[in-house]
Amino acid sequence: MSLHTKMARLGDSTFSTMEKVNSELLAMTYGALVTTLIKDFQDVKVVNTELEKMGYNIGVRLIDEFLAKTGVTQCRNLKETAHSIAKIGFKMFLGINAEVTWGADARQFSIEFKGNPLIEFVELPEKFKNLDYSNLLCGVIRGALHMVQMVVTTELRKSELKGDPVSEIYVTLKQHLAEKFKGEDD
Amino acid sequence: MAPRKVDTLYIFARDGSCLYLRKFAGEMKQDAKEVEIEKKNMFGLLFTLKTFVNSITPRNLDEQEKEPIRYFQTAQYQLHYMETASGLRFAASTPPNTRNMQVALGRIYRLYVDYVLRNPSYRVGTVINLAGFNQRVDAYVREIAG
Repeated sequence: MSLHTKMARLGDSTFSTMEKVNSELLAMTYGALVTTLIKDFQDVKVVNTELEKMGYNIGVRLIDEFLAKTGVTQCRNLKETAHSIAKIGFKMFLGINAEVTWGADARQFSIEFKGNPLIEFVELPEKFKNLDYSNLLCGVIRGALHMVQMVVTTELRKSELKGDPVSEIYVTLKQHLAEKFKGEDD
Repeated sequence: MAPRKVDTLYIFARDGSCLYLRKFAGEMKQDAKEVEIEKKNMFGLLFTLKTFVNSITPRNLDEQEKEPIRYFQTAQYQLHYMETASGLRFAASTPPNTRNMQVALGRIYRLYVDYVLRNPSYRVGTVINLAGFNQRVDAYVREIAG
């Protein structure tokens, strides 16, 4: 069985053990959150940044839930990391299937997905065409990877809300962090 | 499964800070300074042991095959260890010849996820001082003590 098939299976099996929440409740809650941010900040760019930040804070915690529930220990390379996020992560946390396509070079990849539960019922009016509605997810990926020593940038490149056939998050690996601990200089 | 008596539980973060130290048998050292030294020494030992173990392997291992230790044992006690990809390190001391502690440490990791990480008042990377977590850990340790 190929590694990717194994990952997809693990994603499915972990998904089946997760507590579920009503997807409409999730979509409504997220929608209310985004609306409140827009009211508070007025500026779409700022809202995008805030969503990403919130996602980051979720990601730094979510990584441990991912590791604890799937038993995944270490990914051997960036390709495995990318597939873990798409096949296992997206499946277990959002219940959707995601695909990896490789990017411009060995350090960049895309995660493509359809059926994002966050955007259910949402329509983006013209004045918010630059709003990255699902930017939270970009932050989650960045936060989670940071906890496993990878510094990445993420970008919501395509969105079903903006008329694209799929949503796409583009991830670029900036650097691997080295192991170090405080007290090293004592 | 045979009873497993946990005497002490440690949880360390990636940077070496001790997030949690709990003794289930015997008493906590009274002197705060001594406790700090114990925490530092334990982390230092685990870190060094892992590096050492990987350096004397009989054949060349690539990055992914390098495994941290699972436990070491003396006549008096056994120290079990589990490390996560996120840099969290769980260590537990038990009487010698206790088996299946990796499973127990895994369960404690799950408790950490459910009762520490999901608590919005907890700041990640700081000392864990949560009644809910303490209760669950106590209950689990009692459960496996048989």
